[in-house]
Amino acid sequence: MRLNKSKHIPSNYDKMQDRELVHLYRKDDDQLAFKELMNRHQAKVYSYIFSMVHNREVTNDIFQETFTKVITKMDDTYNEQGKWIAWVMRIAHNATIDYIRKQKRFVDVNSSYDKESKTDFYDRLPDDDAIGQQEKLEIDESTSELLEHISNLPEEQRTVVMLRHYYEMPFKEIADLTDVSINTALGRMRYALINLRKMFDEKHDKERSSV
Amino acid sequence: MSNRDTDSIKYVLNEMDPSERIEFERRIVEDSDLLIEVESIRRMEKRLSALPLFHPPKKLSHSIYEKSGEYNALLKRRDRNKKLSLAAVVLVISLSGSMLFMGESDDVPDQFNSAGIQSSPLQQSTVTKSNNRVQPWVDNNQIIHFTGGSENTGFTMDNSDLQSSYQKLQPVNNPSVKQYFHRNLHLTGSGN
Repeated sequence: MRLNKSKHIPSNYDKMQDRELVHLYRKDDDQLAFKELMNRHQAKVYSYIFSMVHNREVTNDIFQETFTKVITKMDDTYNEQGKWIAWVMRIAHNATIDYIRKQKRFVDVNSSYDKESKTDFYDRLPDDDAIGQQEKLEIDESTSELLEHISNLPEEQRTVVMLRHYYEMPFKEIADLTDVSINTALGRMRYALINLRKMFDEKHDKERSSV
Repeated sequence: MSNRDTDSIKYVLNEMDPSERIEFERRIVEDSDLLIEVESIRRMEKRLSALPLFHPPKKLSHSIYEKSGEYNALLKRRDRNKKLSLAAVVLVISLSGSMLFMGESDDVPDQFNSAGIQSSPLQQSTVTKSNNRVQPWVDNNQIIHFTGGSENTGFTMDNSDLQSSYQKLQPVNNPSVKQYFHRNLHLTGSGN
């Protein structure tokens, strides 16, 4: 690996703001600044992608695609006025949504809208790689259950929940990123939490009745 | 989605102004259903906070650092190549420009000297080409053309050629009848 200065990130880098690190990377080609940026945000980006697609290999691919775009497009499309991580998240979000939509496109069924649940066929479609089926992660049972329920949420609700959770993004930014109004974003969050609550209740009811 | 519907989520996620917050808390006290919804949302929100962070494999992160280094090296190489080719272009242009200037400056003294000792190439060609016969002719539009001799006939004709060509022009006897003839007559060459 080529590192311009030293193998270890200098201690003052962790005190720098993202904007300063981006500036160092762009102007001085400082690879350590890029490494520091990656160290700060990679887990959040990775977790967001993983929580949306529920497959390690696909997550790795989308993660790599995201950062390849970050490296190659930073000079062209990122202006240093906005938050760097919001820009990275937009790339990650678009790549993730592209993947999910491509997967759904392969299903040869007409979409149907269910008035009761206010969802169409695609919303109700379970993810092929749902948590617990393919992924054996070292997570406890309750987290695994939570992830499974999240994976059953409609895509747009899941997106808002994950962006809020992993990035603590203000709803204004979530609304911008997903091209909806703030009220719609807030409404999706509300429905997501209500739906999650229902899913937990239903599961517990089933468990009780089986006992 | 009305504002009232989103108030509970705004309250739980601290997205309200202090004044909105006080107003909403008043409503909660009065409305037990609203209180139940707020508590339910709050509990789920707490549950979500237990979601763990997933880390990318170290190999993957490492490959991205490498890619970043390689890309920057590639950009530097491209930049250097661009600068080199630009320098080469500037060099070629300046060399050819200076050669052209040198060539022109070699010609200039000859032309100026031609009045004195030597004749310039232009004058030499005029002398040799003036020996050729030039045939003037008038086309349908009454425009005089000079054919024969050399390509630069207009400039290389001698006075005798010009005199003989003028004799072939038709004089206009009655200008009032054929006025257009006057207007459309163009001379395309001159001995002077």
